[in-house]
Amino acid sequence: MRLLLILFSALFSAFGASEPPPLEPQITGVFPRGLQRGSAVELQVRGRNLQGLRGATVSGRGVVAEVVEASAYRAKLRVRAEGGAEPGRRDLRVMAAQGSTLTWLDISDRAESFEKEPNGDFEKATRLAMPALVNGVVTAGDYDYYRFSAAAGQTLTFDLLATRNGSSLDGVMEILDAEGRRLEYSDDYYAFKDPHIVYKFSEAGEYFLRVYGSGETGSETADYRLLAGAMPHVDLALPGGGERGRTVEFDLQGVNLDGVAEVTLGAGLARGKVLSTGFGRARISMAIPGDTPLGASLLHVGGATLPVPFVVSGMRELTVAPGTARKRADPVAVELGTVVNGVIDTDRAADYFSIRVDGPEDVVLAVESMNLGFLLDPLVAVYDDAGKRIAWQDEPTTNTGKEPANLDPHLALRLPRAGRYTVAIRDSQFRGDATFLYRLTLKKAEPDFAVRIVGAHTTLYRGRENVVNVRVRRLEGWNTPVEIWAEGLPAGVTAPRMIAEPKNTSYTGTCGEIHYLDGTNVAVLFTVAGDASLDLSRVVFRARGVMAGRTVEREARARYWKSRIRVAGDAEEPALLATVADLPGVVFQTPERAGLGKLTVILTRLDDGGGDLVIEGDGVAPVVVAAGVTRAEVVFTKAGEIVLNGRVGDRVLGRSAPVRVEGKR
Amino acid sequence: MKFAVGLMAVCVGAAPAVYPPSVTLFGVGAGQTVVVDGVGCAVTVADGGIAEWIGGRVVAKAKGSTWLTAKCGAGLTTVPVTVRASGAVLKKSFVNDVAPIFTMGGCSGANCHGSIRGQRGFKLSLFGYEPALDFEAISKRIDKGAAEKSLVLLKATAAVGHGGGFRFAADSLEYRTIAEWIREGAPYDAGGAPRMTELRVYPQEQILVGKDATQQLVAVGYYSDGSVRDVTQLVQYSSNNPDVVQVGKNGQARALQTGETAVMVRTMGKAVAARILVAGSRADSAYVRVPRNNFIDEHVFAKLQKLNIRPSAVSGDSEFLRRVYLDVVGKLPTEEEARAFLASKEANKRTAVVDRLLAQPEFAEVWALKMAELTRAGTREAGPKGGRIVYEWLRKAFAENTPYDKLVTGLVLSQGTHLFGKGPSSFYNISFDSNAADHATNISQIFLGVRIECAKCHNHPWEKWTQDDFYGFAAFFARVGVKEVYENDENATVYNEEGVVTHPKTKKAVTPKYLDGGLEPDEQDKDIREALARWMTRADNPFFARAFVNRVWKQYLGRGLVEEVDDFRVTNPPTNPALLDALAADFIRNKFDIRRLVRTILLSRTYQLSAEPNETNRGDVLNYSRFGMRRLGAETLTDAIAQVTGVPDKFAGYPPGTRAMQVYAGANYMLSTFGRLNRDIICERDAQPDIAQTMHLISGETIQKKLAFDGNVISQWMTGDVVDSVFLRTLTRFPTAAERAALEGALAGGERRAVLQDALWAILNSKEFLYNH
Repeated sequence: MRLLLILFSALFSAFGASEPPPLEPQITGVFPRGLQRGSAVELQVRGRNLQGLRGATVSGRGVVAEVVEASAYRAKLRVRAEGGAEPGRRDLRVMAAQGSTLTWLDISDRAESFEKEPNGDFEKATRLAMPALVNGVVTAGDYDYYRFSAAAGQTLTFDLLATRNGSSLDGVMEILDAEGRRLEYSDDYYAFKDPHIVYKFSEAGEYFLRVYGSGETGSETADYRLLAGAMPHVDLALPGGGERGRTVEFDLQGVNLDGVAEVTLGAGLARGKVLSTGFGRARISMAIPGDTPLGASLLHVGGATLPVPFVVSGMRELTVAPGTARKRADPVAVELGTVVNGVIDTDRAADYFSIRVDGPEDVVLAVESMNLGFLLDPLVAVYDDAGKRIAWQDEPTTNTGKEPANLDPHLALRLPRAGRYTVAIRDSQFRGDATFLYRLTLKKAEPDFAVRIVGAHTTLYRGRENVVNVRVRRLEGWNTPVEIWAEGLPAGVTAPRMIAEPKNTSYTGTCGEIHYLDGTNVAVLFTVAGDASLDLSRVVFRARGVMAGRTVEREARARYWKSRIRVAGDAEEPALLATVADLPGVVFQTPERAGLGKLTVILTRLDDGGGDLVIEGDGVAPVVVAAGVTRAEVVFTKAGEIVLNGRVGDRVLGRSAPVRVEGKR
Repeated sequence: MKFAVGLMAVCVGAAPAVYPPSVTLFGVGAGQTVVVDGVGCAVTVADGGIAEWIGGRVVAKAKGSTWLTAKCGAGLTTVPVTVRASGAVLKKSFVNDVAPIFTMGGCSGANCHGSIRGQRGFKLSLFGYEPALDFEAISKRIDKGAAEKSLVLLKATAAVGHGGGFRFAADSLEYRTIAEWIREGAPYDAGGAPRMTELRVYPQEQILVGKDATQQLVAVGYYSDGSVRDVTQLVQYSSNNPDVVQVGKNGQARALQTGETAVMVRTMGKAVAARILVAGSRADSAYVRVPRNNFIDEHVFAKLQKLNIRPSAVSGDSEFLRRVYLDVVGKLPTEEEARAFLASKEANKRTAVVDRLLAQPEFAEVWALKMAELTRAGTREAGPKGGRIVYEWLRKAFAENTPYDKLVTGLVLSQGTHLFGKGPSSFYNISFDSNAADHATNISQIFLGVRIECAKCHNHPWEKWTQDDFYGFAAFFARVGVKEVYENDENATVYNEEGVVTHPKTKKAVTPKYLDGGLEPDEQDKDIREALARWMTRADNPFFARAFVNRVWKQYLGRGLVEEVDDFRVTNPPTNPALLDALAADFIRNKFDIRRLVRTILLSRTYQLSAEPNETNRGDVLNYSRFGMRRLGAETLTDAIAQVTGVPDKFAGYPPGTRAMQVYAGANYMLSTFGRLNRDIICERDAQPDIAQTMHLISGETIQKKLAFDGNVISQWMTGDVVDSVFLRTLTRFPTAAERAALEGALAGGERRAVLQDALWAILNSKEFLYNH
């Protein structure tokens, strides 16, 4: 994101105009963060620039949202989920005249409750009626205590959904016995800081669950959804996918799986048949229809805490049980055109496969694991028949934190001669775990590319030029230019066709080192006419390239990156939501609250900058700000909700968001 | 002839000790200083045609073999003497004759020309480790036409102004050697010239009895061509503790007061030490054998007998109980536990309490915190989460009594994301730019007790470690790196597919090399740290077990057998080598069982001795003749105050109920003031009391707030006879009659809460409370 800001800055400065501060809606918190399907709920939204929200949508089917009320920092949405809505995380978008934004909403299939303060010590602990889904908030220094009973030998699962849903909470969970002794602790279990505990209680009794922010951090927007109970919890399905048009048998692995009865892929794409069950494993058979869309979907297990990913492929699938492909001298033979499913379950382990080619061959080894949500950090290596390593890859490019990370290798290489080659896959950190699932695709290379829009939404200001970045990621050895263009542009908006050269974009790190993006960044310049229609449009980017006489055309997907909590993903809506808006003549940056007396206000003039600006308002002593000055000191003389007006002469250039002025003089 | 006045030879009829134990001379005229440890001794050479005894030296006359005889009263010792051919007449060697003079004279010391910038443009390598560089520097300061006009000689004799002052006279051996070398053309040694490969000093250990007793040291150099030379006059001597033993430049050591020290001997890049013990009086026949509980006592008491020091009596039950609780679980015994123990008549009650405490989770917390501090878990780079992941792994390992070799292997091989996972993945994550050299420094210091960091820039001044050794060891960590993973700025320690350590001088990739061992080539697809961990934890590794048992010993006895505990070197020998060896051997034999090692120490009589001194051990601080009183550590004291007052602390960032011992990273004012480290570097805590600590206890909020708190322990003491409770809860003992009378009197005449507040304040500020004794 920082890179994007730099690019934006550079472009705006090139055009000689002031860069407007963010005017589109921004969401910092949503509470509750979700709802049970078949119910409705009123969501409290917190953020900035929420005034004038004119609509809200939820991705997928079966969930609708509407704006009940909105002010600058708060909004209320009413959301209703149909009984048949697919559980899982959805994109919640809100739209205003100045743009749109996106956050996440979780649809559950169980009754939900709410944390009740005070619950900050053992005596005030809230009793958990399990299975439970509790919506709560952790403020700084806050502790939420829950009390529950457990039977001897019972295994309970506790899962705290927070950052995975876009919350700012870096949560911690502890299980304590009746005397307050800690039995279990979890801080960062998932990659995105959320804790998770599966605990088998050796003795029947009363216990406590303590939820708080790591290091006692928290805020009013640090929400969580606590799942707790003896319900099934599935870590993974092995294999983690299946070929469409075939029936696949797979194992669900986890805890409390004895009673699993219902398994569904996506929103009814396929239904599984339960073949056998046990505490930690359930065997499922599922016929995948031939018209099922390719790619990852969620596998829903009735009553389970959370769904798990399951990939529908168009290729032969092979599953190796953990530990059965560990001998480098005796690798498992695999034909090119196969997806291998496996688990690196022990430290310092690697799985080995052999492939055979009849002559020089371009092949690709692609791994899906981290991008499916697993914590394996895969590394692949290829050895020739003499045992010499000829290629390896950890990540496609170095992760630096400036970009969403990608740990899954995509190694395209030419096998130089006929013969047998050995492929190894392991965790690059030499770790192993029963949940480290991988899907390793070994196939002949078919050069291709993928296109992503960097961002899921943008605001296009009339009379200005705006940049949208598009990323072309070359796959399987693609090495020719790719042409990119936008479709569905609002009336009065134009954008040129662009070329992405076959060279990864580089940038310089803080120590002067050169890094490369995983792909080519193309800055598409949108020119917005002064009379362009003030619309919300869905802009589709398409890309086309030709290599070795083969033409490939792809549509871009919108990809977002929540810089605050640094989580990334593909928006469910693939198009870019573009809002055409007018820039005000002046933008004030003010806090939500202030005290009586002086306040420094940052202002950005977006008009021609000529003439002194007068800042005034009810309860504010007028202040004259000379052209070119970007800070002003205003004095609030009375309490209340006060709006600053900025005018030059009689012309009002802009208004601030209301400032709640409190206190006595 | 000058004889050392030694303890060993005073026994009538005992054979005198003679150093060195054999004499080999190369060439006619070659000599060797020989020291006979006895009084009124006659020394003769059997075949005067081969060698003769002149002024305390055996001097070669002809090729052949004979022997030297030393007769002291009825005692007789013979030493073989061999004279070998020397070949051609040798000219002066710069490396072997000239360069050592600059070391011996102190010229190449760190505060003189050996400093990083040298002095006045004259730069020598530190302690003469780089003779080629020294040759270049010295060659610019000589006059080949008139040796006596050479600046190096004029300066050294102070004939011209010299910041370092007078170093030697114009008629000295040093002067003559340098002058002769200059007259011979001041050459540098030819490529095949022999180099010193080993330096030995005799005697390696000696007991001197009484002030002003002396001992002549003998230094012998062994060379690459097989020759042996007397270098007694060519080495530099320095006493590690000049208050106990002084040593002159000729190698004569003189006792100044009772105690012991090492005398460091060095030249030509070699350093060794002789251990000199000074006893106040001779062991007498009335010395009473002290009962032994286990092998520890055998070694401790044997040495005490040598020094004629009687150990203190065994501690009382109160003293023992309080001590063992504070040491093992970092807590005080409760009043109920104290009453039960003191009332118990069970013969093995001490063993029982040791076993019970070792099984408590708090034992693991004490050690986890100690190791977390040593490994610098939770530095600013790793943050509290990184600290926690290492601490929790350590705590679990200690709770499960994971064998120490497995524990260290886990740390050495650790990797993975720094914030989550099952292993101590943040172990290597100590700073944003930590590299192989840092890891080598840390791991050698923490787990091998060896400080090799000096050798990063130059050969080690007090040890044998060279830059080759340092970078060879660092090469084991060449592929340990950090990469960014996931989106939330999380890093991971990884073992990279590629990576080398480059030698700063040769600029070439270095092959991994064990300390004092062979090379271990790095291989693709293998983690060479596995081989390193195997080498470290091998039973015959000379460092690993010794370093840890020494740490454990210090934890419970207050002072390491080697002190500092991470500074094992030949020039810093253990105070009781036999005990160190025995502890290490026992630890290895029992498969690195930490709990068993601790138990062995706690059950020894040595650990259970009273802190009260007797007249023979009042001045002894090195030999464990009594329990060494020591101030409670920061966490133990903080928790003890909370425990006594019944008011728990709240540590920022940690949940309620967290004790100080469980605060794995960060510190409040109390913890910092009492010595908790910030972990920026590896170091031991300073256990010395200071004024800030005193002031904080007297008037700081740690005690004041707790005493003023309404719900504190005093609220349970508002009625009845509580005097015993006050003392048992704080000092694990019943009050004396005077104490009882004083407190009862105050309670009778004053406001009860205020009196009890005052009483607790006084006790909490008393040395008896603040110290483990």
